[in-house]
Amino acid sequence: MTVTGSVAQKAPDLFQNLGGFLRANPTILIGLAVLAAFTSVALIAPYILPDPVRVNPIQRLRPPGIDHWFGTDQLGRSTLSRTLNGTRISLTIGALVTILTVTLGLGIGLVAGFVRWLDGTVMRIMDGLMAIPGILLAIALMSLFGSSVQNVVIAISVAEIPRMARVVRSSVLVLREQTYVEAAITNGAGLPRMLLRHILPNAAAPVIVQATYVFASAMIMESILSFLGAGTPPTIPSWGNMLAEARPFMQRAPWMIAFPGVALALLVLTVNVLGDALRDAIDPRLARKLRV
Amino acid sequence: MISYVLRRIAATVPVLAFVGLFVFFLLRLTPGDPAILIAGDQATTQQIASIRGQLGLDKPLTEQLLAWAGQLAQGNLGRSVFSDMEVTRLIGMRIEPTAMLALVAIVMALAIALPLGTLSALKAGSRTDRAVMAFAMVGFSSPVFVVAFLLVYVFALSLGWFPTQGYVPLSQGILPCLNSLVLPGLALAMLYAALLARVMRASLLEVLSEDYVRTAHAKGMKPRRVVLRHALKNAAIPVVTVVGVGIAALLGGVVVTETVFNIPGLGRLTTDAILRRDYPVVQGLILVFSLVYVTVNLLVDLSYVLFDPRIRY
Repeated sequence: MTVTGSVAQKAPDLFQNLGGFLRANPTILIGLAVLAAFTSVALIAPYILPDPVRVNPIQRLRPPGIDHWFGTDQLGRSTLSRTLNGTRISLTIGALVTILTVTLGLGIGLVAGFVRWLDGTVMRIMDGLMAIPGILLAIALMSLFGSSVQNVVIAISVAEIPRMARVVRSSVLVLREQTYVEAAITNGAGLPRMLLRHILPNAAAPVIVQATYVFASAMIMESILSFLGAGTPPTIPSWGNMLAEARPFMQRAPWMIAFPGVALALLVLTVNVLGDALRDAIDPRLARKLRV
Repeated sequence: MISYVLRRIAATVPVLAFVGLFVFFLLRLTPGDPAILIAGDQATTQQIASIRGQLGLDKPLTEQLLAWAGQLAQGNLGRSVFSDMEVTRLIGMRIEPTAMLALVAIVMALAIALPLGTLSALKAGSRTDRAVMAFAMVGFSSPVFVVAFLLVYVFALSLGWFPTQGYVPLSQGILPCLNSLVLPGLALAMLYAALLARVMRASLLEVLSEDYVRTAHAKGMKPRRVVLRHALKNAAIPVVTVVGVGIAALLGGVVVTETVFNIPGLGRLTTDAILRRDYPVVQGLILVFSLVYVTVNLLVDLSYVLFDPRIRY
C-alpha cells in the first residue's frame, strides 16, 4: 500500500458527525434520497391514487396513455396505482426482515463468538441452514405456514440469519483478542456489559453493511416467493404478484411487466449501491482491498 | 494431503445430518396435523388415515426418525403423495434439463465475467472500469425473472431468434437443446456473472500489487505475459470460491428460471410439488439441492491445490 500524504486526513465518522460523513460520501446521500423518495411514494400512494384492487372490466388491458399513465391489467385495475402501492409491501417486508435478521443474527453471532462451548454447535447449525439454497428454504417454509405477510417475513429471515450471524461472529473473534476487551475483563466487567459496551459498538460497521444487503435480498426474495405463488397473498398488490399475473399477457400487455419489474430492479439497485458506498466508507479493511 | 481430504469430507457430515434433520422436522413440527395438510381441504377421513399410515405419522417421533434415517441410508426418499411414484425416480427423470441449464449458465457466466473482470482490473479507475462495474451492479440487482422477461420480450417475441419457452432434450440433438437454453441460461447467468466479475476484478487488483508481480515487471517481462503467466492464476482462488458459494444462488435461480421458461426440470418439480403440497417430493428435492451445494463446495476447497502450489495440506 502506498502512503500518499504525510498526514492522512481523518474521514468524518458516521457515528460522530453524520452531516460531515454524508458530505464526504455523496453516493450515500443520493442513495438515501432515492430511498426516501420510494418511501414517500409508499406512504402517499393510497391517498392520491385510485384503489389498486378496484376492478373495471370495461377498461381491461389498456396501454399507457393520458387516462392510465401506466396502462391497466387484465381486470382493468390501474397499473400505476398497483405499482406505486407495491412499493409499500416491498419496503415493509425488506425493513421487517432486516430488523429481525439483525436482531437474531447479532444475538446468535455474539453468543457463538463469546461462549466457546456453544460455538461449534451453533455454527454447525448455521452451516446446515446455509447449505439449503435460500429461496428453496423460504418456499418450503411458506408452503407449510401458508401465505401471509408475517410468514413471508419469517421465512426470508430464517434464510438470511445464518450469514448475518457469521459476520457478527467473525468480528467478535477479532475483537475479543483486543487489549481493551482484556482490560475490561480484568476490571471485572460481566458478559452482558462487555457485549453491550465494548463489542457491539465496534462490530457495528460490518453489521450495517450486511444489513443493507439483507434488505435488498429480502425484497428480491419476496418478489420471487409471490411470483411462484408462495408469498404475499394475491389480494395484496405486490410486485411479485403483479409479475405473476402479467405473465400470460406478456405479448399483449408488456407494460404490466415493465412497470413493476423496473420499479423492483430500481429499488434493489438503490439499496445495493447504498450498501457498497457504506462498505467503502465505514469498513476500511474491505474498502482498501477493493478500492483502486 | 489425504488426511486433509478425509477431514474435509468428514466436516460435511454434520452439515448434511443437520439438513436431514431439518427436512424431517420441517413437516412434523408444523402446527396442525401434517396428514391433513398434505391431503388438502377436500380429503376424506380415509385418505387422511392412509397418508398418516404411509408416512408413519401414527408412530412415536423417535421411531419415525429412525425409520426415516434408515430408508434415507438406503437411498429411499419415499413416494410422491400426488403421483405415487418413487421420489428418487421422479427426481431422476427431471435431472437432465436442470443439469444442462446450470451447466450452460455457469459457462456463460464465466465467459462474461472473467474477461470483463480482468479488463476492469487492468484499466482500474478508467471509464471502461466504471462501465463494467455499473453493469455488474445492475446485473446483481435485477431479479432473475425480470431479466428473463426482458430477454424473452426482445429476443423471442420481437426478434424471434430463440423460442419463448420449453426445453428440447439432449436426445434430439445437442444444438437444438443448447438453442432452447440460450435465453434461460443467460437469465440465470446474469446474477452469477455480476458476482464473479466483481470478485475477479478485486482479486486481480490485489494480486497485481504483490511483490512477485513487481519483480516480473522489473526483470523486463512483457506486461501481457505478467498478467497471463503470474497474475491470473494467482487471482483464481477467490473466484473459484465464489463459483462454489454462488451455486446456492444458482440453484435458487433454477427454480424461478424453469418456471418462467416452462422447463421440466428439478426447479419446476419443486414449484409443482409445493403447490400440490407433495411433501415427500419437497423433502427429497431439498436434500438433493443441498447435497449438490455441499459437494460442489467440497470440490472447490479441494481444488485450491491446483491453483496455488503454496497451499499444502
